[in-house]
Amino acid sequence: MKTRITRRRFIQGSAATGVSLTLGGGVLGSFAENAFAEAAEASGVVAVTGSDGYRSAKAAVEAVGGISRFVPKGASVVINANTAFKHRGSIVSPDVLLATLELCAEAGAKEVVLLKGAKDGYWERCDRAEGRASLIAGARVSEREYEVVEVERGVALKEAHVDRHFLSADVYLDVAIAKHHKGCEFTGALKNTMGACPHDPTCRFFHVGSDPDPDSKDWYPDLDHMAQCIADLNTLRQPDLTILDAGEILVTNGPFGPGKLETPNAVVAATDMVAADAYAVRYLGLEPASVPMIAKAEEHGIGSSDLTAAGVREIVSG
Amino acid sequence: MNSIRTIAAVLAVALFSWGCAESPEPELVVEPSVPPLEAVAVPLDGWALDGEPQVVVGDELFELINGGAELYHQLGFVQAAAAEYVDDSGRAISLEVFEMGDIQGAREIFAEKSGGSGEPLDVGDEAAFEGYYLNARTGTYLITITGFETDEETTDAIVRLAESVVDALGARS
Repeated sequence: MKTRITRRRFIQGSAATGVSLTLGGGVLGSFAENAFAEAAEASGVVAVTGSDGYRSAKAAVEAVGGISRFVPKGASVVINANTAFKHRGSIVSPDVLLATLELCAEAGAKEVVLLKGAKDGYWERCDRAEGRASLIAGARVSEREYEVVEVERGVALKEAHVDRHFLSADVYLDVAIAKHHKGCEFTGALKNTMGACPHDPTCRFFHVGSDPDPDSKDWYPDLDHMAQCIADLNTLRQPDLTILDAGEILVTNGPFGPGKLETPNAVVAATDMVAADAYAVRYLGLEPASVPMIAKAEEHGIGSSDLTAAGVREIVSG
Repeated sequence: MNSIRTIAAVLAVALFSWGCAESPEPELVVEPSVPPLEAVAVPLDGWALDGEPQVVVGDELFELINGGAELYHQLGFVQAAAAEYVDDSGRAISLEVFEMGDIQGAREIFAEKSGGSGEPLDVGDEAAFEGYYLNARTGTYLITITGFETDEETTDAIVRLAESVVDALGARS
């Protein structure tokens, strides 16, 4: 049974940057009918809060315009999902990634490539995955073949090794987690793009620069350089859609963990990866201005941290 | 297959180290010792190893923990071993043993990872349990054990496993 979301349930004004919605239990069916597509047109960032990451992810994508807005039928899709770790709060929830895969299938994507595979046991932590084995198996994991590309607009990063799927796919989905990072304080959509690159040489250059002190063991000698490299890398390609998981997140000992956990129980969907990060830093108790990569990405014109201009909608999913 | 290659490479390095034992040149670089593989494959009553333990050396740490490797390298990382344990009810815990280049590096990584908080435990040289995970140090090793649940069965297994790993590492030295 589907439950319609009526305009009467539209609650305005609780967020300084946008509007808020409270939705009941039948939220997914209602979203499938584009119940409030009119409002969605105005919002570049949607944050859905609820205990079920799968439902929140689908609701967030629907509210930002629906998956068909981003994934045309027959498109090849590359998903850069942060699944590289295994500790709680360090990786995108399998519920959120499963929702993303389902959305791609529903949109009629001809091919889905995951830039990185998941650690053993990842899908076992998602009850819904049991019945979706063929869908999960159908998402091919990249063979990690890299192309060396010139970063024309790069200030610090002039050349990068980048996964060929990142460059060639019709659609790029950035599926990140908002969490603590020992070096950058915050990692989200922008930093997740490093997942398209190998550790050596590209990511290593981010950490130590082109002329590292051979006697130094410091992997974060120049955070400004690292932030600049992250911004530079993102000039190569911006995601068509960013999905930022903030269900259970590390707030210390990131990016790997284990560490202290917080449970914002939120999923953010955004058309602008800079706005997504600018919004999500709040889950770490930070301001956008305190995360240098956000300002540097903004200077490149990758996006805007002006959340008022972006239009933020906050939805509470029942 | 990758882990087999890795283990073979580590053994080769260890054999090379033994072969160089009589070299007149003082060696300043910390060479990996025999990997603590047996320490991550200790029996744990009521639990079983899930899959093959993994061993990584040097920059291979990025294969294990991706960007999380930087901090360990900063503090003198040498090698690590990792394993997963599961019980009949589907509970899972992960074990990681990191060998650092010296005790000071191990102390610093323990301090970083435990954050000075948590419940102190009498395991190894120093240990702290916090909510769903445990960090312990014994000599140059940092042991990190993480549960995916916080129930009594899991937390009990985490502590027992830490004690067994400390014993195994102690028996090796």
